[in-house]
Amino acid sequence: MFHITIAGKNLLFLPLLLLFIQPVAAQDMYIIPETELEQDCGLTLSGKVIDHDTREPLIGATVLIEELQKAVVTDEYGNYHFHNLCRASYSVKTTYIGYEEIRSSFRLSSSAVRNMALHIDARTFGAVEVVGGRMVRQAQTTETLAGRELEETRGLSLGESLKKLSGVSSVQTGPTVSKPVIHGLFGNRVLILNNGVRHESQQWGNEHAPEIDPLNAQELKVVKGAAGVRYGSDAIGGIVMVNPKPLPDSTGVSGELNLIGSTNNRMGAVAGMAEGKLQQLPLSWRLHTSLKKAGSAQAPTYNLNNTGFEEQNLAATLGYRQQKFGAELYYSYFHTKLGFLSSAHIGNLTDLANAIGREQPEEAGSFTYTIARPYQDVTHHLLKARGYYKTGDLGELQFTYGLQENRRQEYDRHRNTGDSPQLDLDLQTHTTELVWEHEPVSNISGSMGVSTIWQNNTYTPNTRALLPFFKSLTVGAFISEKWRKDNLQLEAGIRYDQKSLDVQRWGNSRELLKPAYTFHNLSGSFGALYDLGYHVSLSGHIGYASRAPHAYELFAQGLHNSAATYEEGNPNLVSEEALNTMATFTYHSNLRLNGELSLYYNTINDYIYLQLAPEYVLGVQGAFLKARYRQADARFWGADLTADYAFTNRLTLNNKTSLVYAVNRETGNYLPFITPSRTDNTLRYSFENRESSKFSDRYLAVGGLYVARQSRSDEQSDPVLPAPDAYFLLHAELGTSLSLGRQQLELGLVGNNLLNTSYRDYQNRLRYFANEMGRMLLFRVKILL
Amino acid sequence: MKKSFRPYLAFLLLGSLLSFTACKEDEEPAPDHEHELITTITLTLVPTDASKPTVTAIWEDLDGVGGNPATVDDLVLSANTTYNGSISFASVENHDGHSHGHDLTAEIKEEGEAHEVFYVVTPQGLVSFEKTDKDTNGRPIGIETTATTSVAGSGTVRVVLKHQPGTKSNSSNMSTGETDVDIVFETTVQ
Repeated sequence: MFHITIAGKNLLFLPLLLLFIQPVAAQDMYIIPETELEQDCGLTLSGKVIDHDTREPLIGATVLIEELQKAVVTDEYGNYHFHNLCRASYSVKTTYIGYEEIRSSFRLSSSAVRNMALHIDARTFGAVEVVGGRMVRQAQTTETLAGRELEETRGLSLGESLKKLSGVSSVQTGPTVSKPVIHGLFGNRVLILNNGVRHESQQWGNEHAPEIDPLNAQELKVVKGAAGVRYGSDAIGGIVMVNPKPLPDSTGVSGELNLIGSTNNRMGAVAGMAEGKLQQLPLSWRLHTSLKKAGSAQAPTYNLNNTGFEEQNLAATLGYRQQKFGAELYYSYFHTKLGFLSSAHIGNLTDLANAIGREQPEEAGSFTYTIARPYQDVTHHLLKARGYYKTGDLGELQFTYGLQENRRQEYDRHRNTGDSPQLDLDLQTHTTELVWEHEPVSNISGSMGVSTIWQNNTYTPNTRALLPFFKSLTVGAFISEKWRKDNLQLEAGIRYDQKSLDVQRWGNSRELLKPAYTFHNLSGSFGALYDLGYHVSLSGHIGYASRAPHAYELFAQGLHNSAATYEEGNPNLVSEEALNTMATFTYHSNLRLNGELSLYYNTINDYIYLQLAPEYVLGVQGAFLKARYRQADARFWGADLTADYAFTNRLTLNNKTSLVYAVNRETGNYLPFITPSRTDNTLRYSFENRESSKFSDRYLAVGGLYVARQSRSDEQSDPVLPAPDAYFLLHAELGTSLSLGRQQLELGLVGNNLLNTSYRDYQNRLRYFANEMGRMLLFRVKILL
Repeated sequence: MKKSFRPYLAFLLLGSLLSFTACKEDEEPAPDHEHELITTITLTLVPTDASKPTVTAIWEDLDGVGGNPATVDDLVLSANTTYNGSISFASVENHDGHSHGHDLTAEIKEEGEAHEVFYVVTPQGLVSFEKTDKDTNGRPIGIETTATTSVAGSGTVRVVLKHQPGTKSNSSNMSTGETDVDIVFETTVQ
């Protein structure tokens, strides 16, 4: 029985595998009967593979043309396609795990549609357990970074890695801090799920990068647009999921070692992973660790002083899995120390004006690994316990508990301040979630559940009270269902969250104030997915989410040293509400052109944003700009396009384009800090695998990223400095697998900003002070043990 | 059926247990003030002519930027007088009604090669400040000064303390480095 489980799992990787095999087989194995040589060979054979009794499509079934030794795997609708067939007689074998295989022979004289109906194999029926999820599609646009594309980002931070996806950009603070932006929204509006647990840290800060090690991830998945139903109403912008590899199913121990190095900041990273499964017990385990160290980054013509960083990570997983129930224990530790561009730490408005007036930062310094003040030191612990229990034929009950502690220390550069940080925040979070996922009942499948989040935020005495003490409890319940019949899938969900927030802060006349709030937040979604045929699917999704204001937005009080801005919260804020409509058109499984276009229109009422006030704030350091949180009705709209064109089996052009527009609906003004339009085009060539060669899966890719000037900005949105110019960056990637005897290696080289272009990015908070990083080459070696 | 729901109860129990143990006793925040922040600046001018009064002007903002505004003394000087000036920077914190001061002037002097105090007088010539102290590189620091007045008049004295780590040099000036202090005294010469 266990064997079947594994086979079921492996099947998921088959489509990927076959994608590579298929073109080779197609060229080498063509048998064209002599009598029909003159006839055209452009015929198509396609159809659906279905269960004979239920008429349900079978996803991942294999269809093989025996004469050609050409095989394809059915897609998420059970569809299969063969292109470029000649007129001939073919015997076709269709197989699917748990079903009896069928063979059919027919003569193909014109393009044809053949459906294959399979019968359940009586011998294996009842013992089949397909673990690890089917290929489930949803109406809401999602994008995944995995496999080779993810490998190419190894060594980069989470925020930088996600930029590979269309519609995703990042808000940066210098070269080391990068936060994901989805369709122009970021921070508290983008939920990050780290191994299934809501990542809870000081996400309100633009210079606070997510405390997650992407080297531990097997896939990074992004859900675009309001997606509040499943994980919490605050996901107005979308969700980023960082998913580690599932624990091993087969007995034995294996491992992997990654070595990464780069030019420019001379980064070195080592990541090691070991995993295994015990023979006697259904117990599996994994240990992952990584270390990174980098020196100061280099702009094309100068050193970016004090921009080095170091990072240490550890993750340990223990899993127990039985047929009916299972449990998993996961612990991860993240620690980073990151330097902050020294010349961007300024005193007051005059300093800011001086800095803007300079061609390059005042303190250039030279390359060093030393990290001096100002710097951040952040530690994040996550403990997760998860259990599931199969409720017979009905479905599965899952319980997840997460404990997180986030400690953020920021060391300013003032006079000799000893060893203590100026900002020292501690956030503790407990999350619980109980979900019941039920099996299809007359075409309806879905899940429902309840969750709680309890938080306590404190700061160390004698540090900056930028964010006050607060405790909050959020209790939520949701239900999400999916109905599917033939070519149509409908889905709907609703969630309710109640959040109580108790704040303790000191007032101006030294009295302890204890403001308390209760927020009620509703989320909903409705989506439809329609399969228009073998190549086209259409989906539409409407998502509603409402986010309670964060304690920072309500009570922030303090200086932002890099912006010479005094930020002030607004205790009168109410929840912001987003209604997001999205339409996606997918053109898939074609020989040459494939792609996806999605359009979105997002109306946000009471959008919370930081608005610069006309007056200044005076302090001992002089004058500062004053910024206060405000609310206004906003509108975001835009488009994401991903398209691939295969010139030949080996040469492909890939395009990723995204556009975002955002305005304040009340005043008609542009909103600040919105992603400029960008397009990335990459030409990729995959070399032929030769059996005699030690090298396989070799590829070479060259591409260019063009980011337009943010023309939708003006003096009102950016009063300090206008948006920087457009820029073009050249990048290249190459990779190969290498077998040295029995040892398998994967090698890769990625080059970014190859022309060493000097540029500044609109969404980098340090654009007032310095250029972006220059040319960088990233080398990586993966050793499978 | 009944049996299968037992683990569900166990899960719930576990969940409530964990969330209850999570609720620790209430902590109160310490009164917020950043440690070692400059809150109080005292400019003392002692006349060389002992018959004239010594002048002390204090600029103070105990709760830092934002909150309550700073209290600032006026600077009232005698005409045609030479003063020995000195300026001090202190961090004063209020704990339970008691104030604790910490003088930072010595630290600044010690790091003299990374600091300089500038005096900007408007209108020019109302008072003229000359720095009399030097750092280890022979560059002026500006904590000790000689201030000279001539005719009567009124205007302002702006005091700027710059942190110039690695950038203080023969060519550095008031726009070099990061501003630690930038304050203004209303000034009368009579």
